[in-house]
Order: sequence, then C-alpha cells, then structure tokens
Amino acid sequence: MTDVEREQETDYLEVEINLLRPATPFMKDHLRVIWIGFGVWVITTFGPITATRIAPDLMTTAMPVIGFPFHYFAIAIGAPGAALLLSVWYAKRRDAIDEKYGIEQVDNEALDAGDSAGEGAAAADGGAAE
Amino acid sequence: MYDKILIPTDGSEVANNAVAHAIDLAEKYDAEVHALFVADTDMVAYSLGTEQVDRIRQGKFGEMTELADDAKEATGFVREQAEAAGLDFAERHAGGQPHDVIADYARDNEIDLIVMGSHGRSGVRRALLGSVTERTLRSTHVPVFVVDYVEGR
Amino acid sequence: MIPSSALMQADELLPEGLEIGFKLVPAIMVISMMTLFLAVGFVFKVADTDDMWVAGRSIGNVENGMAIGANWMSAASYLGMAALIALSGVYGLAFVVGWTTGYFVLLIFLAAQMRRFGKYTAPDFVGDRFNSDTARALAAVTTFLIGFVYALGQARGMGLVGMYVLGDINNVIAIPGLSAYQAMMTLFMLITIAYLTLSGMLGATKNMALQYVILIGAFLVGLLATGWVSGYSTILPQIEYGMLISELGNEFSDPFAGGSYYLWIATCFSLVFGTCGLPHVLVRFYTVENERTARWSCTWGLGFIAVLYLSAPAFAAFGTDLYTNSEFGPTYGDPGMSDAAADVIVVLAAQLANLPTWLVGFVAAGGIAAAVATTAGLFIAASSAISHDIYANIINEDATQRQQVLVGRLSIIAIGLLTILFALNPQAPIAALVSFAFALAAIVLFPMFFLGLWWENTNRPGALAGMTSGIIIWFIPMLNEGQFGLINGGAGFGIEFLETWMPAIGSALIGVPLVFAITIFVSYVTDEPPLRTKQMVRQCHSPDPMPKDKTAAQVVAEKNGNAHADD
Repeated sequence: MTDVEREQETDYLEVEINLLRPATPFMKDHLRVIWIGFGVWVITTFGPITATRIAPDLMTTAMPVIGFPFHYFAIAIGAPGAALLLSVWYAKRRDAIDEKYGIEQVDNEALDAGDSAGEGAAAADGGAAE
Repeated sequence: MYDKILIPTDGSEVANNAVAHAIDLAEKYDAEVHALFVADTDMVAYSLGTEQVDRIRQGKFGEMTELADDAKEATGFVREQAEAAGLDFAERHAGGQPHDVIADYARDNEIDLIVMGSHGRSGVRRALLGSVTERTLRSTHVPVFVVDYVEGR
Repeated sequence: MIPSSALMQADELLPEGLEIGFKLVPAIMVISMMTLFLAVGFVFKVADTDDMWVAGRSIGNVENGMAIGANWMSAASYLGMAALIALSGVYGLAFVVGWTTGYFVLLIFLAAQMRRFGKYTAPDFVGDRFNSDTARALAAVTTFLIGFVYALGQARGMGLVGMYVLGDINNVIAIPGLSAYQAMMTLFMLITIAYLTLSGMLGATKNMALQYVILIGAFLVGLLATGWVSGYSTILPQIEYGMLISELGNEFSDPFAGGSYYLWIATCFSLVFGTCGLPHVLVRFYTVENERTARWSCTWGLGFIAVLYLSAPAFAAFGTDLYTNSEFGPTYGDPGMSDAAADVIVVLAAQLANLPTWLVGFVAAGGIAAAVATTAGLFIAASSAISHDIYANIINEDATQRQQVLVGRLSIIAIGLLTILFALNPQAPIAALVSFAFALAAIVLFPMFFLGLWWENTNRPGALAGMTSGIIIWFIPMLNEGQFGLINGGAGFGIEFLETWMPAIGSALIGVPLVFAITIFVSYVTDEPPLRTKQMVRQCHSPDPMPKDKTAAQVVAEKNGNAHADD
C-alpha cells in the first residue's frame, strides 16, 4: 500500500496523536517538517547570542561593507529574517504535503457557488453545509 | 388589513411568549408569518470579540455554531406554530443593531404588523439594559403590537 | 541598566529633551488618525447584514497578515523596543528576536490546529478541551489579567508621547496631585474608552489593514526622514545604520553590557512563548478560511511585523547618536538618558533631527494611535473574557444579548479604571511592562494550548493544576520585584537569588517548563480524559478538511452518532 492509500483508509478519530511517535504517514510527513523547522529555528534564534557568549571576539568583528558588528547583524537581522524564511518554507512544504495526499482545502466561495442561489431572498434556512 | 406579520425573536421566553398572540392574529387575518432573528453585533463584539464580527461579515455565520443554533431554535419555534396553523412562513437570520434591522426588514418586506415581546422592565434596569422593543417602536412606522412578559403567568 | 529592577521616581516621569507643550498640528493629526479609523470602520460596518447565511467577502491571506501586523503595532513595538535597544544595547535585541520569531513557533504548532478546533475565545478552548468550567474561568481571569498588564505599558506610552503633543495639562487646568505625565495618561485612557464606546455605537469594525498601513507609514517616514536629514542613511536605514554602530559607544553594541546572557535568553524565551499564548493572537486563527489560509496568513503576518522590527533598531541607533550630540548630553554614562526619555526616543530622535513639527507630530501621532488601538483591542478581549466566558457561560447561562452587552461594557470600565490607577506610577519602561503580560501568557496559557492540542491525555486535573500553579509562579517574581507597588511600597520582597534567576521580565524560562511538568505529571497520575475529548484532539490534526459549519467537537459528536452523553 502506498502512503496515500494508507492515508485514505485511516479514520483519524481512531488514531492516537503523539508528538513523538506519528502514527500515520501524513502525521509522519507533517511532524518531520515541524521538527526540522523547529530545530533550525532554535539555532537561528538562540544561536547568535550563544555564539557571542562563547566566542565574543570572533563574533563582534565588524562586517565588510555594511559595518555591522557581526553579532549585532546576526541577532537583529538574522534571527527575524530566518524566522520569516522558515515560515515561508514551512507553508510551502505543507502545501506540498497537502498535494501529495490529495487534500483539498475547503473554500468559502467554491462551496457557496454550488449552493442555493445567493439572491439574499427571504426564507431558506440557508447554511453553507452540503 | 394585515397580510404580513413579522415576529422578531431572540429565542428567549419573553419573545416566545408573544408568538401565540402573533399566530392567533395571523390566523384571523390569514396572514403570512415572518420570523426574524437578529444577532446583536454589539453583543458579538463585546462578548466574542471583533474577529467574530468579521466572521459574520464574511458570511461565515454557519461556523459560529452556538449562535447559529440559537438562531435556528428561535425561528424554529415560530415555524412550528405557524405551520401547525397552516400559515405561510418565512424566516431570516440577520446581524446588526436589532431595532434597525427589524425596522429595515419591515420596510423592505412590506410588513403590516410587528408583534414582539417585551420585558416590561422599568426604572434602573430598563435604563441600563435598554429595550429593543421600545427602540423598534421609534424606528418604524409599522404598527407594533407589544406583549409584555410577566413572570409566573 | 537592567529594566526589570529599575524603580522609577514616578512622579517625575518627564522625558528630558522632549519638547513638551501643546502643538496644534500634531494634535490635529492624532485626532485625524483616530477619526479615520472610526470612519473607515463605520463605512465598512457590518450592521445590517441582511442575511447572515449569505457568503460575504472573504478576508485573504495578505489582509489577514496585515491584521496580525496591526495587532502587533502597539506602544511596545513602536516606542518601547527602540527604547530598550538604545539603553540596553544588545539586550534590547532580545525583544526584536522574541517578538518576531515567536510567530514561527505559533505557525508550526498551533495556528492550523486552532482553526480546526473552531470556537470563539481562548477560554472557550480551555473550557471545552478540558471539560471544565473552572478551567474556563481561570483562563478568562488570566485573559483579563493579561489585558490589564499589557495595557499598563500602552498607558505609559500614551502619557509620555501625549505630553509632546498636548503639553502639560496643568498649564491649562491645574489638577492637584497629578503630574504632567499622569494627567496626560489619564486623558488618553479616557479617550481610548471613548473611542471604544463610539466604535461600538457606530458598529464600526476594526479595519486592521488600514491601521497597519498608517502606523507603519508614520514609523517608516519618521525613520527615513530622520536618517536622511541627519546624514545617516539614504533609502534603506534598516541596513545603513550598521556603519553608525561603531560610533555609538560600547553600551550599544557590546554583547552583554545591558543584560547578562541568561537574562537575554530568559527574556527571548518568555516573549516567544508568550506570543504563542496570547488570547487575542490565537483567536484570529479561529476565523480564517481554512488551514492553508491560517498558515499563509501567519507567514504574511510575520513578514509585516518584520518590517517594523527591522526598522526599530535603526531608529534607536539614530536616536542614540542624536541625543549624545545634543545638549542633553551623552546617552550613556551618568546620568545618561532616562527611562522616560528612552521610551519616547522615536519621537525624540525625529525632534532632535530638527524635522518640521508636523513630521515629528506625525510620528508621535502614530505612537499614540498604536497605543490607543492596541488598548482598545485588549479591553475588548478582556471584556469578552468576562462577558462571554465567565458571565454567559458560567454565571448566567440564559443571559440575553443585552445583558451580555451590559456586562461587557462594565468590564471595560473596570479594566479602564484599573489600568489608569496602576499606570499612575508605572514601575518599569513600556517594553518591560508589556513583557510581564507575555510572561503570564507563556506560563499559564501556552502550556494549555500546546498540551491541549498535542497530547491527548492532558486532562482536567492536569490543566487545573497547571494553570493554578502557573498563575502563582507568575506572581512570585512580580511581587518580588515590587511590581504593582503592592509589596513594601514598591520595593518588593527583594530576594536577590530570585531576581537573578527568575526575573519577572523573563520568568517564563523557569515557569513554562515547570507548568509543563506539573500538567503532565498530574495528567499521568489521574484518569485519562474521555474518549470523546481525545477524538476532538485527533480531529484537530486530521488532514481531512473540516466542514465549514462545524467545530472539531461537533464532528466528533456526529461520528459517534451522538450516542454518548458522557462527561
């Protein structure tokens, strides 16, 4: 059985969610992305200040051209920048996982387009549900 | 004289108390019964937060399950009685300032009579809590039939 | 200068160097900004949604992202951060890092899952996930407390910058017992409450995208102008300030001049996990279109936030240099720049650069508008905690809509008065005050969100134990350092060991692991939660798209055929 097939057979209400032991292929893929992202995040967030603690002389050297002391650049610009890049990376990876497993995100407009005529006339218990 | 009768309701006992009067009148005039539930966006904003107001604006009322259930229950109560009496029925769930929405609905749908319940409060409590019924009275030219709710009756 | 232990001579909160006095154009700008927000909100109001079942306009990723960005434009980001970067150097950068990178953690662990849970408020989540009214009440009280502490920081900002715009009220009407700062702070707090009330009466929705654009506009224009006029930068001050750093004095760039390594880590940690625990941040994800939107909105949000956060250090650098070269003397050393002056360094820098008054006023107006808008949002969050979570859900289940509105309004008055009272003598700079709120969110709420969503065996006793101990743990360093002026008239217990290893500004470093441990332990040794609850958690992680009109709990109930009425 391929991953995708196994996924389709899974009823999530029966599956134990465990952060450390993913039980389904989807969760495995998802958690891998999460842990990798988190790991990199820890390094880019707490790394620069720690490196500065350990090797202050090295870290405080001035950078060419822009003149920042390196530690300052790494902390003030590097950390937030890295977090932003990581976020974009994560969102894209999740989109890829969605595609792999054929998950289609529900869309408000798409749903209502196939629904009752939206003339806003009276009555109708309405409801966007199927 | 009255072809269309509007019953604004919030599902409370006060509101439900007026329904019997409304249905009775409707039967006598063979009128169409309209039930209207208004989600007070003030309440949504203060009580649930302004993101929820956004939700209503986006038309995602259906996702606000408790509120949606309240709405369905409120108008459903009217529907039951109207259909039992063999009357034509229409319902609407709207959001906004209740008295404004009621007045607008009455105008847009050519309502001839509005029947609503009232707490019959007076004094400080009335001053603090306000009366939707009273404000509706002042917001519309359509005749309004007010049924006071007296506890224990 | 370590912010958390600074005891202020509060009755003399007077930023030296700031030209205090009524300025017409800036005053008009403040009023215009607030009026603009109200007007646009009114035009787009939702009053009279004729039929709530009809699909309306959807809010896309970018707009959601701007809303998240606007949420983050408070007096702390606009004013307070530059203050700490200037005075405490690299330590101040812990705030830049903490307040941005936290969003990534939120993104990967909480955003999408919250969307699937689908309720209204954060206490909703806690109450439903742990099947407990007590838990809900604790979360609601914590939400209120967070709003209050966070607002203290905003109030301080309003008071300080307000003095620039409107001057010393005592010159117009001598108010006995109130200093210039205190009078101004009170005035702006009252304006905030009026703004909130008016906004409610008009049914105005918050137009967050507009707010973001205006506030970031004011900040960036100020930065560019200050940099240009003073010769520091041309078009990209956010990079160009690098060359200025070597001239600023060691305090600015020395790694540990402003705070120890431990303090940096503790603060950053606190701010990161506080971000993940703030109720008004998380509830935004309840209402997004779907999980993909949740992810991308969060990402855009981080981007918009980064625009501000990469700019603040530049402003701090310019301000430091301008101040040092001004008549008010060097920024560092004795006496150096005071906390009060630092808190307004963004405005001060613009002023010292001799920019025209209207331009400085624009920057100042931005700061005030940021503070007012944030405070309004916090007050609503607090009022909803009282009105929806405590009143309508626990005390009076049959509450009518009018009653909820009344309770909501009363709560706003209550929190307003409390804030005014305690902001008369703020014990710490803006950023520090706001950080206390973050620490609270990190210690009490974040563990509940994280464990609630990722470990299905977290149960009611565990949650209750965790939250209760969390609240106590948060109070300990706060009282130890004399915050709120409650102990020893503001001196606090003064236990040094505690001050070093569990500073109030970064207490989450100790608090979060502790609460995690307590919650996990208690959950382990007590009964597992009912299957239905566990299924609710599983439903939050399932890749199957959620039906539009159902919360996770309802999907579970349906699949079980509504057979179990247990709990």
